[in-house]
Amino acid sequence: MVDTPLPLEVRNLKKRFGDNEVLKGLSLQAHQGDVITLIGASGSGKSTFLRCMNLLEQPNEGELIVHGETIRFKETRQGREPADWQQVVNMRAKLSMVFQNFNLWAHMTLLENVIEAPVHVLKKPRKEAVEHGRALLDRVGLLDRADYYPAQMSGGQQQRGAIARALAMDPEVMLFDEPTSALDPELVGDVLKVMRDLAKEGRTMIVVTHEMAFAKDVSSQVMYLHEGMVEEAGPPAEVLGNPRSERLKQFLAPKH
Amino acid sequence: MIDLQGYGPRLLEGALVTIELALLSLVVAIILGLLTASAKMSRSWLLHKIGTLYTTIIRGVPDLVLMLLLFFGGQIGINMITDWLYDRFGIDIFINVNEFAAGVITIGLIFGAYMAETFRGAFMAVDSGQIEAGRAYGMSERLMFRRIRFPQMMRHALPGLSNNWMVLLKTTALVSIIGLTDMVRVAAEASKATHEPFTFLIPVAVIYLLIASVSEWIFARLQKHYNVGFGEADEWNN
Repeated sequence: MVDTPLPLEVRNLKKRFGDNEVLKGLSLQAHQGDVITLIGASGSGKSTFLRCMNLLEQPNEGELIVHGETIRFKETRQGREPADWQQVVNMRAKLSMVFQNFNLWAHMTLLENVIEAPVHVLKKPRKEAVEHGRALLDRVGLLDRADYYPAQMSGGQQQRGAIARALAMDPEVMLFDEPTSALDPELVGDVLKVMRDLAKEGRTMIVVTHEMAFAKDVSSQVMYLHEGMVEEAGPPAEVLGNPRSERLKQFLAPKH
Repeated sequence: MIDLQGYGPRLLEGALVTIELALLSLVVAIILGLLTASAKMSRSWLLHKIGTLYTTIIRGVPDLVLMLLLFFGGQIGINMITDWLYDRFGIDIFINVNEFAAGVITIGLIFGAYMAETFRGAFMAVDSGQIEAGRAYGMSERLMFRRIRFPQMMRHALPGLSNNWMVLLKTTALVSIIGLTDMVRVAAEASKATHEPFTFLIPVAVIYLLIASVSEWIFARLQKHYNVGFGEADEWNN
């Protein structure tokens, strides 16, 4: 037994859209400081799996344990739903998400975006949130953009801003949903650099990505998903360096 | 100056009634509109049906007919209820439908249906990623409404809202029919008594125009406020 609870544990998670089972019993254990990358072709269920972790999608079966606390569900006519939405709200505040399309709130400046949830969800004093927010913007190299609106910034800047917004929650785990997929190639590097720094300082991260170099260099564990199941998982040197399944070999082969 | 033949103060009082009536009706209409829009977008089958029934009936019947129906029919309905209470329980109450309240309720009820459609469209125009981000950061539905849905919906709703308000303002002229002394009724009475319709109706037209112009200005300000972050970059960059 370990003394401190795991930041995040998922057990046997299943998700159906109608008759189509897209996640067929997935499990994951994130230890403090782990960087777990989820890879796989589109349609493999990796994004859905990530979105189930903070219940943006409702899993039909399975357990979700955040920092030792099991999320409670109840059965309703529409299917399974969280039994206690307050618990979900508290849980989400511990897992902050970075989206493919950034999703910074368009009607707020960058700094307002960063302090929004700390002030209104965590009830942090505004002054403290602003100080912390400015420090985080400085960290991602955007302090001079604090008063800009998202539409005034490049995609790369917006995504780094979104990472600052995620950090402002002091999250247990950060969830990244294809954070560089919507970016122009020349902007990807800046975002990946910020993420590498986060990994280095021991942040627990779960990253859905197509960036194999990032997966190889940064992650502690790689999970290759295929049709809602884990086909291979393990340290990156093993999974990416020496793939066993034919499918993963194909997936990793250079595309022409 | 035009000689208002002593009707000036009454005309001014009538103008105040018009403004009060219009503003209070607007508040009722906005509240009803938001509630109905939420009902129509809700997952509940019953709420959805009720919302649809309300907007269908109101939008399909002329304003004037609705006003007469609610004013006269409303009084009869209330009388039936109070009579029944008296017969059954010996409770003796008499409620008289106040013209002003009837006007506010009727106009609010009519425009609530139009506002509902405006708000529904506006809520649906908000990018779903914005809502999802709110959810992912632990916002409750209530907090999300206040901080994200409402401010982002407003820029889509304002053009329709402003249009509805202009029509609402002019619809208040109909309340003279149910006996409320707004400025149109004062002007009509004065015209009849003096045989000088232009003397009274032209000032009335000017007052309506004046209110409309002030509203246009206010709506333009609001539009600018809710457009922050969405417009062209150079609009807000100094």
